[in-house]
Amino acid sequence: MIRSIPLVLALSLSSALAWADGPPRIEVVGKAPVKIKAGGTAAFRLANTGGARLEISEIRVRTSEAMPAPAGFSVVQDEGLLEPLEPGQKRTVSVAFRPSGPHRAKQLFGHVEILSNDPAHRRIAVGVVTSKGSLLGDHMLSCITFVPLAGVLAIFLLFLVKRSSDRLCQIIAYVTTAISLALSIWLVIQYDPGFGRADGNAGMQFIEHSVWVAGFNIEYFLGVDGISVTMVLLTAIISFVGVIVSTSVTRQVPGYYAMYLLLVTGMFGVFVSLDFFLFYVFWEVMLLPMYFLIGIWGGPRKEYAAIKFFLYTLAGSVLMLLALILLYYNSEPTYLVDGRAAQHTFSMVEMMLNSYDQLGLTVAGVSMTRLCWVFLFIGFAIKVPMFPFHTWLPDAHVEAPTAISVILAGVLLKMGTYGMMRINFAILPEATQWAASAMAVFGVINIIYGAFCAMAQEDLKKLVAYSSVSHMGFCLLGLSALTPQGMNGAVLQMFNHGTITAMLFTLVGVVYDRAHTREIGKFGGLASEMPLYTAFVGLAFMASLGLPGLSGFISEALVFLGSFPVWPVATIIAITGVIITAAYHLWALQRVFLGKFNESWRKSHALEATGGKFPEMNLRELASLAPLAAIVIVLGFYPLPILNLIGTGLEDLRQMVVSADHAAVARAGSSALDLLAAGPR
Amino acid sequence: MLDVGLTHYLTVAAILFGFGFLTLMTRRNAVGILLGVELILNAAGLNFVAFSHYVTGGVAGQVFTVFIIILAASEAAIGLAVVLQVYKHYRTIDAGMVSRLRQ
Amino acid sequence: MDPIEYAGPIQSVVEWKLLWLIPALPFFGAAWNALLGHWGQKKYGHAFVHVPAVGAMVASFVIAALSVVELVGLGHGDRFLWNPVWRMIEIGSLSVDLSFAMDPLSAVMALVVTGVGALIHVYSVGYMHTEKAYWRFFCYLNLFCFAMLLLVLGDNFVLMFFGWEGVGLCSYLLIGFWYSDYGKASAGMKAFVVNRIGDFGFVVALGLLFWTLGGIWGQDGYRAHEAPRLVGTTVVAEEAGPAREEHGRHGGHGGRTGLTVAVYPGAKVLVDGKAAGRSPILGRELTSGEHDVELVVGPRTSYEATVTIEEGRETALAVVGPTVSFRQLRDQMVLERRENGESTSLRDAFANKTIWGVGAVTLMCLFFFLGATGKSAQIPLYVWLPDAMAGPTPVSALIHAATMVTAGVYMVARLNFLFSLSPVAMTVVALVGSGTALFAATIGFFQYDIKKVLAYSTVSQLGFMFVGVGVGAYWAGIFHLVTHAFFKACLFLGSGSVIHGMHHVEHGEAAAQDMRRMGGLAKVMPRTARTYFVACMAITAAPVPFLAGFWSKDEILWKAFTTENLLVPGWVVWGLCAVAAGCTAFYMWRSWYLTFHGQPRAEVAEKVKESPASMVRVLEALAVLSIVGGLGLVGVPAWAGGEPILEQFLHPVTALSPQIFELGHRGFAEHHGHLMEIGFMVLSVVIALFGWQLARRRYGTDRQAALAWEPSFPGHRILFNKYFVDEIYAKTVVAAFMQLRLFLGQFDKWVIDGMVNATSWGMRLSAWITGKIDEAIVDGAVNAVSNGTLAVGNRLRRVQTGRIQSYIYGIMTGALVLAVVSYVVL
Repeated sequence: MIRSIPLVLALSLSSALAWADGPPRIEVVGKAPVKIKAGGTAAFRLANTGGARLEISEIRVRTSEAMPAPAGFSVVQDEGLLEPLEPGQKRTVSVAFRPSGPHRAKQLFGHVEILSNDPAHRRIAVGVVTSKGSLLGDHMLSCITFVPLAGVLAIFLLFLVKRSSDRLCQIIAYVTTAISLALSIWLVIQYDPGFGRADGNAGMQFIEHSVWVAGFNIEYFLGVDGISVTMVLLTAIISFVGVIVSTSVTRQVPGYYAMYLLLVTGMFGVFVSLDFFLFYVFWEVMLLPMYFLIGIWGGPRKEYAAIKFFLYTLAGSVLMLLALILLYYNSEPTYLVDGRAAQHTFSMVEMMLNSYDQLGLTVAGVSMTRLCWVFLFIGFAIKVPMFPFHTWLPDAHVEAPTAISVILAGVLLKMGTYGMMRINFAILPEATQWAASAMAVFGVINIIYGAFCAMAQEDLKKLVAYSSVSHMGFCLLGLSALTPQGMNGAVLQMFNHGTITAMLFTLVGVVYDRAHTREIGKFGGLASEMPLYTAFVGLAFMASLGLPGLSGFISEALVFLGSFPVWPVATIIAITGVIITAAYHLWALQRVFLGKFNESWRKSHALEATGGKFPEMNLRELASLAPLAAIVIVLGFYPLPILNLIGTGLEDLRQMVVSADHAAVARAGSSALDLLAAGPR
Repeated sequence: MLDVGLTHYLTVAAILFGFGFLTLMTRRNAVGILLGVELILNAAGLNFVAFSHYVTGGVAGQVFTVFIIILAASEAAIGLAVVLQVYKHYRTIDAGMVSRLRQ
Repeated sequence: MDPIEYAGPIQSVVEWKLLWLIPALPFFGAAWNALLGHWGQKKYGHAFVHVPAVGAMVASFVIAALSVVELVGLGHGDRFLWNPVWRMIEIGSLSVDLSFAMDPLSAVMALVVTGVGALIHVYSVGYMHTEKAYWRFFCYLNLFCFAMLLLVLGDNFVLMFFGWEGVGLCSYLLIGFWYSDYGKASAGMKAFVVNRIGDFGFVVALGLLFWTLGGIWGQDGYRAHEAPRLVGTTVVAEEAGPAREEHGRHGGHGGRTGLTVAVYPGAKVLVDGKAAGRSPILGRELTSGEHDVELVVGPRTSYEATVTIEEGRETALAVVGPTVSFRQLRDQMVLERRENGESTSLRDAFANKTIWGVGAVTLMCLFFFLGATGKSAQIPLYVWLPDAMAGPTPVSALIHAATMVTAGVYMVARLNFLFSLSPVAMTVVALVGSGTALFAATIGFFQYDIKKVLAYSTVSQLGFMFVGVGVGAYWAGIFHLVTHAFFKACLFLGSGSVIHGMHHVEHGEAAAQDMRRMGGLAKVMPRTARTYFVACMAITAAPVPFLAGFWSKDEILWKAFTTENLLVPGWVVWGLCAVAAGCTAFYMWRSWYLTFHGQPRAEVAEKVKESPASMVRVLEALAVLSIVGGLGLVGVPAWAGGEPILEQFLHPVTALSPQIFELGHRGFAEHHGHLMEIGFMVLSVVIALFGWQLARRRYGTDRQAALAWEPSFPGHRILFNKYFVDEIYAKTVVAAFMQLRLFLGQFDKWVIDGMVNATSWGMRLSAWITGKIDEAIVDGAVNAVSNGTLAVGNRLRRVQTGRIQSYIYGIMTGALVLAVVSYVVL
């Protein structure tokens, strides 16, 4: 994984002989990036393989005001450090990393810059990286992401040796998602909520950073901050619950679980990757299994739904690819993790430092950053889904099997808003401010339009799908407000909506498994048949319509409070959405559960097995619902832990966006100025 | 009396050629066609000799005519062999009937 | 320039660890029944269910009483028990924590909720005995009391809103308790949705309040002004206020030196850098002088304040700017900002802020009032209450008479200092209140279902309460709320006992409640009749005036007449209320005579018996309260020279509004003197007697003739059909909603999805076209070449005749042509 620069001794010897009188040439001897233990020191050796004397003007830690290096990372100033080097002479430079302060950085991914008179390499850098040596210590995120992939390989191997059975594949699925869940919970416990951008490593934790494709400056760069750690936890929970709900799948089970685990890997990858290219790869990896899962195990119109979902999202990701390339080629020169110079970069963290607006590029009269923002926004808006691009969601949900609906609504919708925050907001702040009002308007349309459409549906699953459209409208409104309460509300809404919709779809699945129809008109008076089931549906519906005391309300209230000062009129219209939401939830609840029991079910063939009675929820269904219900109730009265997790990371993001108008901040960092002036060749 | 010049030979050759051509065109019998060919060949040989005697004075013409005669013989042999085969196959040697090669 | 100082009589706080138990016990009762009730009821019978349920309520009442005793023990200005539990939200300027507080207002409400609640729980044991889902009823009832106590004891708006919608949920569950009947279930849904419209107003108002405190809306949108979040404030003793006696263990303000930290519970407190424990530490002796205090609140959020401590003056940290806590909001209304000499009060700055050209405070109060109309069933959102009678009668008594519907009045009383700031809002509250009072009273005239009569009577009495708080006499509103809780609960439970009895005769649901089928029940159910009679007297103050209702309603009428806080003259409101009082007397006594007076039908006489003891004893308790409750809370009335006990008890809570009135020299006209007040009191008694006599002469003598006469009354059809308000709503608002959803549903299916399918159709079309082009042109050229050669070949083929002569002929013509050409060319 870590490529080392080949020992250049042989080359330098020959060059010394032939070009004894050539220009001075600075070389770093030894493996790069330099490994260092937290609290320890490490060293690397500089050699002058050139002909003339090499004057070293400065050796310093690369830090800037916008992205400071972690506290305690310094170059040890032993004497004679800056003495000129005679040709062939070597010198050892040692660096120290003693983290200090309240939120000490457990990791370091920094660079030491060396300025010299070597005409070819005016300024070179050496990457300094901490490594704990243990698998979980250094590669926690990779484990979480690729354990499900290991599951896929295991299922494939079983298939090869002809011993795969449905039961065995489900066990593999249970085991891998359980491991990911355990690791995610351990990740959340280890996560230091107070660690922000000012504490170094751009506010990221559990970083894994190594060069992947040096030619195109693509790095394998994983890391989590406030926003993504909650999403990783959500993905882990929902994917584990999804496996429990998947027991109702009976056809081609090994294939189903292979695709399912590949999907889980894709989802984890999207939330933890910090390299835009890697983000795009995982985005596509997530897309493919989804197509098969809907297309093969879906309902009657599954082909139409699958192809519509696939093409719609693919169109979005094409626009995203365009923006990706635009951003790559306009990014400023920087370094890879091991110090090699890179003309351009895919790393989102470095892109956040560039101020694309300053370049003032225009494409056909429209400013490039705004165009790029709109492309990215459309790509993500399709995923959210936002108003005009949402029609794939009801079809995909109605045709997808229950577990896949749970995953689709529980996690996939969050990638849209996550992408907006991580890329649109962080990398193109000026364009974000320009487009914030449009985003708010679309958010409000989503809320009101989704609520009304939900009220007009006859299929229970379509109703829940449109309610997802309405709830994601809150995220858009919250994000567009750019106030602390609004954005925290939006991220909390992403988490809450994930758990609540997962419950809703599981519950719809329960009744579908028994009655094989989701037609609201056909049901009536189920409460007398299945009281426990009705209790859970009541809880889920109340959480979904935002009843205080359950988690749905907290995020909605925060979004209202946050977006009120910025767009008062839009927020008041959005708050009327609360009434329509209550109306369609209760109306559906009443038509299906209350009133007289519809006696025609007694004779229907769906209930022959159980003698015309709706069987109560079995233990397995209860097991999938109980954890979600617990989360919804606990977060209703005690949301502080999740809000603390989100808080710091989101505040840094907000500062970047809000302070965008004086973009000089990003450029004022001293090394950034040098970077531009000298610019390594 | 009249002395015999080149043109006399040429006219005899032309007449001979004409007869050969006529038999060629009118005979339906494959052997007749072969006869026609022979006449034409001899006319040509005659012309050679005449020209080489009156015009070039060498013996090239006569050598060439000898060649023509040899060729004519072998050509006749082959032709007759073909006619024999045709007769064996078609039971007739009427050139008009033998038209299988027609597309 | 000397530093900016803040000063003011901010509320000093006493920590009291038991408050959280008051709502927690009903919650545990509800959880017990929810989880074990079904199984327990089958196994151990009813006791398993109602013992923990009633026990929880009684225990909660005892703790509430204990807390009130502790509260009264405190000094006049210190009456504020506070019990922070944990912090819920901490983002930027928004800090919400789960903390309970009891001040005089919430003390009164807590006692009413737990007291009347406990009584109704006991009553339900008897009433619901035959019900199969017995455990589910008590679970919901306990959950309701938990939510109501959350609403009443909540220390901030968010917790109040938890209770606000929690009671909405429980009323939904309890109205639709017999959910197998579709009509009852839809009544529950109607209640929840209409309440939700009110909650819309509440949330908007909360947003407005929060951000108006923090900044102003200018032309270019919202601008937050950078005030410090936490300021050291010298606590000034309260000057104004009637008899303020210095007693109680903690002593009043002043005299104490040191720093009080009563904000951000759970936050680490650092004084001059040294850790000094965790908030809420209430008192900390410090040397006088300058100190920097830092409160570490979140992982990265902490607030600093420099505090100057003077010898003999107490300093407390007060939150300035956006807040959701009632106490901090009230403190900001009294805080003064002293800067080099002149001092400006935060309240004036707050009162002058505008949004969209309208006064922010007025807009905020109107939206809060919209929330109150939803919850407390005033015009226009009262339509759900009469339908809510579909629930079991104890539910109607507890929720739709005594506790939940009074939440709106409690909220207006809690925000008295906001409403006092805007006369427009107060006028709207008073007018809507008096309008509803009269409107609902008239509908009550010709209702035949006993519970419907009581429902409209509740809507009307709530109107009176809103008039009380609307005109500025907040304590009078609360006083009527308390007395109303007693006699209305007694009336409802009385009607419940009547219905319970009538079930032996009439098996239909509606029939058992229909007054036309009753009559002469006094003979059959004497104890119920007596309590109903007492409660009737209490509400109407008819034959014997001096019962509970008389005092509170008379106080409201008098304050309405003398008020100068409204934009309309006081007598307008008084007039409406006086007529409403007359109507109340009429329909209440009509219901008495129709139900209890005269001779019972034969069938009724021998089948209907008195209700079981547990129910009747509760009725009698409530009847006693209805008698004693009025005068008990007044003591020596104002016109007799004394100061009503309740007014004096509630004074700390409502102290701010008189000061605000005096600033704008309004308040209540004092020049009328006590004689006028006594005169008005006599007038109201006369009106009540007139109403009573009307009903007695009409229904007392000949029931059947009266019932026969009723349809001939000119306004009968309109009044009986409730002015067709439900039908109007159904045709306008509800129909519009339904049409809009269908339109949008189709729009989404055909237009948006249509566009998507259109793009796919377009793509398929262009694919077809390119296919065709490819086929016709490119492929066409190749085929043309091959066909051409084929055709030529066909024609040439005829040359191959197979006859040898034709070949020779061909050769000869070729040779001839060749010869001619060579001849011509040469």
